[in-house]
Amino acid sequence: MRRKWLSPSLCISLWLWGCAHAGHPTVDVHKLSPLKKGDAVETDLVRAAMREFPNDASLLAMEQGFAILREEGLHDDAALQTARSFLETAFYDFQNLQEPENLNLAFTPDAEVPYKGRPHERVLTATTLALLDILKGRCDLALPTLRAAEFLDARWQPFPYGTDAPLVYTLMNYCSQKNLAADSDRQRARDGLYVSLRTRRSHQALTEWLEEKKNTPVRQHALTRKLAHWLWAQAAPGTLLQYPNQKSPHALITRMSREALRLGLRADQFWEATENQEILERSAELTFTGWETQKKLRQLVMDKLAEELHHLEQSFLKDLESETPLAQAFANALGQAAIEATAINAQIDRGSLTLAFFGTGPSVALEGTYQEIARILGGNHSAPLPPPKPMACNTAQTHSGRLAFQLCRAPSTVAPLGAPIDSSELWNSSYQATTVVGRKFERILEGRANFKSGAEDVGATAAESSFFFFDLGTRVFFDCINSSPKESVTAACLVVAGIALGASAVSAGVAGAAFVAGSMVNAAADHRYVHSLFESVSLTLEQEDPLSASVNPQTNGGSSLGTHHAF
Amino acid sequence: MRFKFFVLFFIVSFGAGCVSLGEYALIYPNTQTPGPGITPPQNLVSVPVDVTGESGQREQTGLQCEFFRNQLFLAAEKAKQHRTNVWLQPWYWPAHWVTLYLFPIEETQKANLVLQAAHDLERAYQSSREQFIETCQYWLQHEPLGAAFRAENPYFEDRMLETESAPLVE
Repeated sequence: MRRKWLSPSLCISLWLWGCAHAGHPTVDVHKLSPLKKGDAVETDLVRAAMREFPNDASLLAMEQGFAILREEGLHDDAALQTARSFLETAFYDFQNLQEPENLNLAFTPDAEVPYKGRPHERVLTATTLALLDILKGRCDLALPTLRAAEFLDARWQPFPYGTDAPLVYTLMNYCSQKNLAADSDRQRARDGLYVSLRTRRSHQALTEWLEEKKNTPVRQHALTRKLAHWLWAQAAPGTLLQYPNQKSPHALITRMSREALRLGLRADQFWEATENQEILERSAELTFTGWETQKKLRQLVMDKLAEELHHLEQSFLKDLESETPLAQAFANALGQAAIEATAINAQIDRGSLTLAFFGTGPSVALEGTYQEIARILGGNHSAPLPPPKPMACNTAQTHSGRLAFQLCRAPSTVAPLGAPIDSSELWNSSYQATTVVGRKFERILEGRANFKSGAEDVGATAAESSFFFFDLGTRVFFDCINSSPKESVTAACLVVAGIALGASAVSAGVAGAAFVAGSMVNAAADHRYVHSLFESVSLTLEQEDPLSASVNPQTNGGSSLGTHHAF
Repeated sequence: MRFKFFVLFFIVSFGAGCVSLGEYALIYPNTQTPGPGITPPQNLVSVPVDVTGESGQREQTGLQCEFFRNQLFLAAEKAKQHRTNVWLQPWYWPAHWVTLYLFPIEETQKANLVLQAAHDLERAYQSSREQFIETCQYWLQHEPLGAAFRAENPYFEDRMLETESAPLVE
């Protein structure tokens, strides 16, 4: 009797245990799908999902926070507070940010590690959180958040100004004035605004100028020349993002030359590039004789680097003197950045900022054999809209998909002080995503893909080896036992066959281990991103009121950037 | 009969074993994919040059030297391989004796000359533009190597050597 019931009981127990451990989510994930279109869902549902899927908690918080702000109409205090709480949750999750570089995490699929946001998502989340605090008159809360936002962008770069996003410094400057912060803090915010605008506006022109020099056919394959151009390209954005007091193009070019020479000590990445490695191998055989020809050529290149950089610098300066089109474009871009910084500072001094968030941020597409490359696809700007209508001070409103914030220093003011004349783009998600994120992100995943590919190669070679030794061992074995007379079957013959079969078994073991190791590694990149992120943020610049300009000396004369009108 | 065979062997060996400088100079223009570190000839030749003025002449000189460097680079690889092969061939030493030491000597001298020029020019190429142009001009004037390579260089014009006083270097 006992035996009769034993089997069914065991089956039922196992089924119940299986159900209990099957991990069926209690949250209906389909209800979260509107978030992927930028539409908010029920707050409780999101919070439940954040508990249910802790790896995606930050992602859900950012999605919901931005989605609430995308809802049409004037945002009341409750909606702003809810959006703020989600963005704040995500922001505090960034604080324990670490890169998945240890081996255990290398064996973990990226999509299964906690999502901490991509750098551009982190910066915009932190900046929007600060903006919501500013809206409620809490610059004391906003300033630390903005300082964090600044370095969330460039956490791997040792620059005194952490981001090339002018939005962060614009708000920092606005709050520094409002809180009557120290002069040094205010000046740093202004300098940060100038250098970030300078980087954004002039880097492209400089890149094109450098590219033209790089494509000159003479000595195109000389490693010294290639290294000098490579280092210059590395040093240029850093130089533009530093040195706010170096304002002329000539001074910046000279500074870039020095920075490039300083970076020369860390040129390993240049030598690791396949193209350069091939040229090194081929040219070294011709340039030097004897042993270690590649080492000798590398030494020659490093010895001549300072001279080459000096020549490149002279070439740039000569172009500036000759006013070649690309040199002029760079100089003009610098001038435009200075004028723009002055205009933004004047707007801040006026105490009224109208910021518009619009468009849909960049998406992610996976590419490569193992889906190991995460390609950032540019976001969409929504169709250009007319300037926003005057809004009440310190309010936020979404109209036709465009979120507008009206910040006023004096809470009682109802409308902007002047007529809108222009706008300045202070943030672009696609630009931020592709210029800061890409290289670091792909490098880690390429390493994983290489490991997986290497494991597969080892597995294939070991499998071939295993078949070879198995074939050899069996042939020797049958030759041994078929030989005549039978007495000639010696122990030595069988030992040889045994060794071959043993080698076959070992190779099979290696092949199996490599296969298992290769299949354990998930080289696929993380496909997650914030769907509801805004693509662009722009500031409305208003017609300057002559009366207020004369009253407020900081608008022009007091600004450290006033001299740039010369451009 | 023996004499006729000797003459035939002499002529065949001498002719077959000799690679002229003109042939060395033609390797690059006849190569579609020269490999890493060398611009394909069709790409280099398609660069438009305005030879008017000082800067135009400087640009032309640079392109001449770039073409010459590419010619020498591929020629040197061939010369290196050729020299190794010649010394390893079993018929080398008999041919050497039969032709009264004539057969391999000239050939090896040409290979050595190409290698020496390529070595000098490549080191200058990797060092700086000034050294590169200076070394290029030296070897372009060198006879017989310069004459053979100039003949296949589309950027070369005789007036380049006549106007040496002009500032050819940036």
